[in-house]
Amino acid sequence: MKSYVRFLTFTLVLPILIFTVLLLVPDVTYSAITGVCSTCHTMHNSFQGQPMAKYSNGTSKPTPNPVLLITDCIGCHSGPVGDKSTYGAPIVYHTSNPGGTGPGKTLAGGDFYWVAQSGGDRKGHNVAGLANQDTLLGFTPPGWDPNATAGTKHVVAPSGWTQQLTCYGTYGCHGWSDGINYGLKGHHSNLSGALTSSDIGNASSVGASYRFLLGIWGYESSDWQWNATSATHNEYYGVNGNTNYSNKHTISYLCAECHGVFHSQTGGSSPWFRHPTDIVLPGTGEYANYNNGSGYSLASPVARPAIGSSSSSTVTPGDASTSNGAIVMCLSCHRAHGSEYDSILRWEYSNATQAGCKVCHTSK
Amino acid sequence: MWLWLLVMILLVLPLRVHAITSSLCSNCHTMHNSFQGSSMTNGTSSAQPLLLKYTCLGCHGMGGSQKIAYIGDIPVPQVLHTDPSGDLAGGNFAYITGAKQGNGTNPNRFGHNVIELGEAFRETAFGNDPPGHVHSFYGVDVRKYLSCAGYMGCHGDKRYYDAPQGTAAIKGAHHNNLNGKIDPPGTANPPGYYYRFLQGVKGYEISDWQNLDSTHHNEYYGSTSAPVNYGSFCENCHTSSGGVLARYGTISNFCATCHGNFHQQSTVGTSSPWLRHPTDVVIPNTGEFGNYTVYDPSVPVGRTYVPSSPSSTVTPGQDVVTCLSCHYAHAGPYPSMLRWNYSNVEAGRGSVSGCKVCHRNK
Repeated sequence: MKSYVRFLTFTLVLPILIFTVLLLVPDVTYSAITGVCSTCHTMHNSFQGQPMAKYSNGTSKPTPNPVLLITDCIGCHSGPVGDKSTYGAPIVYHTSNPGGTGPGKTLAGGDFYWVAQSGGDRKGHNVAGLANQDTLLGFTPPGWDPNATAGTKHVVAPSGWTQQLTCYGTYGCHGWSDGINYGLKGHHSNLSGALTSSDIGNASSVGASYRFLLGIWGYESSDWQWNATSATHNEYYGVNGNTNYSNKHTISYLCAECHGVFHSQTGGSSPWFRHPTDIVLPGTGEYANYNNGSGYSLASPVARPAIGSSSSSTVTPGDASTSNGAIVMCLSCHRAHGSEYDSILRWEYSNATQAGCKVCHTSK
Repeated sequence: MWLWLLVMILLVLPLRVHAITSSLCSNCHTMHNSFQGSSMTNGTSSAQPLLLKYTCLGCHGMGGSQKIAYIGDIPVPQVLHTDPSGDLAGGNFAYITGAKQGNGTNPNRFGHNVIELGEAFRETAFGNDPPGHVHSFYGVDVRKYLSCAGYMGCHGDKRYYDAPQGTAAIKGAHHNNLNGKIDPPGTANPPGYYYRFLQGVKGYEISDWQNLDSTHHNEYYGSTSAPVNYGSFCENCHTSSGGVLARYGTISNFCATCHGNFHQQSTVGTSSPWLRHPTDVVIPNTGEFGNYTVYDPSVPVGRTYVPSSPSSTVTPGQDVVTCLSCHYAHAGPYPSMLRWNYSNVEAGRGSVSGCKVCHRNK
């Protein structure tokens, strides 16, 4: 009798069960981004005979945008207050003074508000459409050295910088760079959480890259650090020793694609010629007391030599291998987009009596 | 003997080739618009062109409860009706008139506001010209003239400047109408030789005018070259006589004769990233698009050849996007004449319908 029941189970019940489960599983894999298509797209740039496209400031634009978008990067990712725009996109450009950087004021990358103000050249990346060309630097970023990051996908043209910095593409930070408009294609293939599989040589990796920064690894905080704490925040990827940039997945590699000299000409060891990045925060001396032992500092964050499945408040100086490790990176001192401070710093450099440098240099 | 056999064969054969429409003449025509002193025309007291008893909508938009009505023994497809079982492939003007309830507050957005519907349903938005027009219609307010057929209509012959409007534009079409596979040589044939009397357009006409399921539907003709890749040439839409013609025979080329900016390469692009949604472009056989393999009548595709019968198979990499992949030709229950509610299609969740039949992973 038992064998008969077993026979029935394997030949009849089990296949039916498996079939039922398969029926319930959707046959498609959806993108991480959710929402009504019409929020972002217009098929023909036409609504009752009038254009649907908009300039970044929200006024009507007669010509359509690439990828059938209603507006452009700035148009989607700007707004007066809060963390998200009317399009539901994270705000990187507040049109009103956010009153400083940090949780509850700006997202992790800082804000373009200050660089967009008159005389604000030193307070952010002068992205076209947001700010004028940098009056001192022109088009070429300081420290630009295309040889520092062999195989870079940014600004590979031998003619160098012939136009202003953009959000994405060959002359920008986000997206794929072979063809400037490809930089936009990533929102529907966007992955979230821990991202450690993207490849700099593959356009399809844009969505799998940390914040659409092609090839870069990291852990994406779901609220872009609007409500960040020592335990809940982005995690940036870094490695210990990367001056020739054989590792092309660190956040500092991304910066080096434009600011190579700041990375390739550091000296290699103390005494340094330039402040190093992609180097382990020593577990000795003043560095061992990073942030006075209070764990991860949002003001002076460290990168991790391994990306975990969640963010961590623990920082272990001297650890160059685990997700609690500590790697110095560009973003330890700078915001990515802009800040209220010169040199896009996270703090007032000329008055570093509080946090800032001394989060690491604790006895200075 | 051979002579006798030949005579017998000739006697058996019909003496002439009959028209496709076979019925009593009097079902459709009146010789003098008079019967015992009263008008014979339906819906109007004036005599109609071609001695017809009806206007276009008099035959095809009776407003009754059947999507296929009868005049005598002739089945007549209805483009304005209240049949709850559904609409014919081109949609239903009843969504504009309100005889059928659409999903939205502005019924004018549900379809083409042809003047035959009446003054009350004339379009009030736009300027003089249709949306997406390449150039001005020379000061003519198209909203006052958009007709079922003719120079400022869709059906019939409009290859000549000042071609007639309305029923006169389809002279002879019902008598020399082809059916099934519609693939006549050239563009100079009378309108009856083309897909649904759309001058120049090819396709396969399903016999009962209904896109019912994956095996029973019209087949729309498309191309991977026209009109997007032809640029802004006058001859894309015009004849040397100043008339209008869908020269390349695709259904999208036909739509482009009024809505050109939604089609031509300078305003659409030639490859991704597109500026406007392309038509007459092959559905990629890679990525998410490769999964559309079974014909969905709610998102029909075009074929780059004229089929002899409907096919339930969609072949990404070969079949193409058409205007009718998303829109109804006449009118539908959703704004922008769409086949689905665009404002409800969501990325990242929901069923595989609407946009996501092609954009499956969005």
